[in-house]
Amino acid sequence: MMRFAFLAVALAACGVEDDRPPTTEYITAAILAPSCGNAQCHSAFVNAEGYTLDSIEGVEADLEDLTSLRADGVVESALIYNVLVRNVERMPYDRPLADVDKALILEWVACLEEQRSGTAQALCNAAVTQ
Amino acid sequence: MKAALVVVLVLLAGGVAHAYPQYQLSRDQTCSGCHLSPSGGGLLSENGLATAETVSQLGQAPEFFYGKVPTPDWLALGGDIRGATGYIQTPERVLAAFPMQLELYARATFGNFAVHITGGTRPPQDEGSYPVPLWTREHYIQWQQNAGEATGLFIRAGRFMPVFGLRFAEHPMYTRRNGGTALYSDTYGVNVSYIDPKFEAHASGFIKDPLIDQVEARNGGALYAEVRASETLQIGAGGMYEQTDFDKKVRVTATGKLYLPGPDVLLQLEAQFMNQLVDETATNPAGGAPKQLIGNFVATKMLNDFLMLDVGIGHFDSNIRIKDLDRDAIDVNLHYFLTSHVELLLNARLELMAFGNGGDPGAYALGQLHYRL
Repeated sequence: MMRFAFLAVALAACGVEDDRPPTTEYITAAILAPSCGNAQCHSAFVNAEGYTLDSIEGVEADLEDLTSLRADGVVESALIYNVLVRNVERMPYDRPLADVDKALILEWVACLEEQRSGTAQALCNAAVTQ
Repeated sequence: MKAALVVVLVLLAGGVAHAYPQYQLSRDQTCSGCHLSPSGGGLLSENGLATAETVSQLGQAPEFFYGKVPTPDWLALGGDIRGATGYIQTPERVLAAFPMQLELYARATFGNFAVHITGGTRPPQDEGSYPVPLWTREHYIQWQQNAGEATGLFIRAGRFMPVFGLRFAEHPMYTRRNGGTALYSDTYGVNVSYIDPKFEAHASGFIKDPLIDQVEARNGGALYAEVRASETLQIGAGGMYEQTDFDKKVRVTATGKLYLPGPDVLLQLEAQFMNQLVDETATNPAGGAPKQLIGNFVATKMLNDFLMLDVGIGHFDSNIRIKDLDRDAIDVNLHYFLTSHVELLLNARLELMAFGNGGDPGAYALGQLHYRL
């Protein structure tokens, strides 16, 4: 057990700062599908509240609703509200998201917003246009 | 964070508990020693029924409906009903109550052939094509070399969970949830198993469910083998390949079990390495290759004839290259087998993100009632 714990500590200490791409494809595969797309939740199997977050198709179908910001800058997206903003951080309801994953989601949302406004340096999703 | 304490009822939150891998080596050498399925879980064999009667405080006839519903020799019936209630912190604090499992099993055996069906409840699909809360999670045809025995060659075709790893019953454990055998990820495929008291090997090929939207829509295959070096020591290894519409996953696992007869303690370890290859696209030209570590270690002690205590630790790092993405959990489960059919269970977990540096901690303490038909 001690060896196992030591291995965990050693590997955690080896980590680098987050340089993962804030793209729809990566976010879906690495964060949304494994964290939100579980059997009882936003999998295609259940499609809770109409959101399917375990496939690119499912995320893109609700991309506007999930990630858009209001004109006054206040976040209104269901994803941001439920995961990051509201005081009772409810989702995922079976286990918390890591802070670095939340930060990458915010980066993705900001990138999509830049893409919508035509100021993006790089595309985060091919389907989003100005 | 403003913590809240509320009472909620989560309808059909779901959950399927399988077999007790704690009994392998400590009570029998193989899963098929107590179950009709070569991978364990579900219907019990005669030996499994005897074990259910022995490991309980009050005993009672262990057969389907206490043996009061006679069935012909070729037909086996059973079922499991489970519900849970308790405290969940994710990090919002809630009191929750939810049904977990309502499933019925039927198996008809004709010589070397058998037809198996598991039917029951499932969460209905919101705004989809499957609005009913009923389904059949498993259904398959099986041929086995030695009719009525727990060893030999087994071939199955139909819908079931690919055979991989230690197959812990608790689906929130990392090696289940993130280990290729997540809850309800059963799908259509073919499985070939060879089981011997000294070793067993399983090969599974599976496809995306062509009929309904499934959990983890994937094509792939899995190989898993266990060797029992003695009656108290087992080591295993396996590999799994999964391909979805947007990524590929290659995972390898190593498992071990050691039974200590003196203190009646079973130690179980599973450690997985998974390489996920996110497809390269025009807007994701770099693709992505998060490499994961997934592990669980569980020590199980039979406190007496009817109380079983599991204490375990788990580790999951969803990308070993990135700092603060690791999480660790301490799991404690206390099983109280009141009768051959009734089990009371306490599941408790504390989960830390990067040892407290990666986010809010999670926890739960759930009381569970399980009735086996």
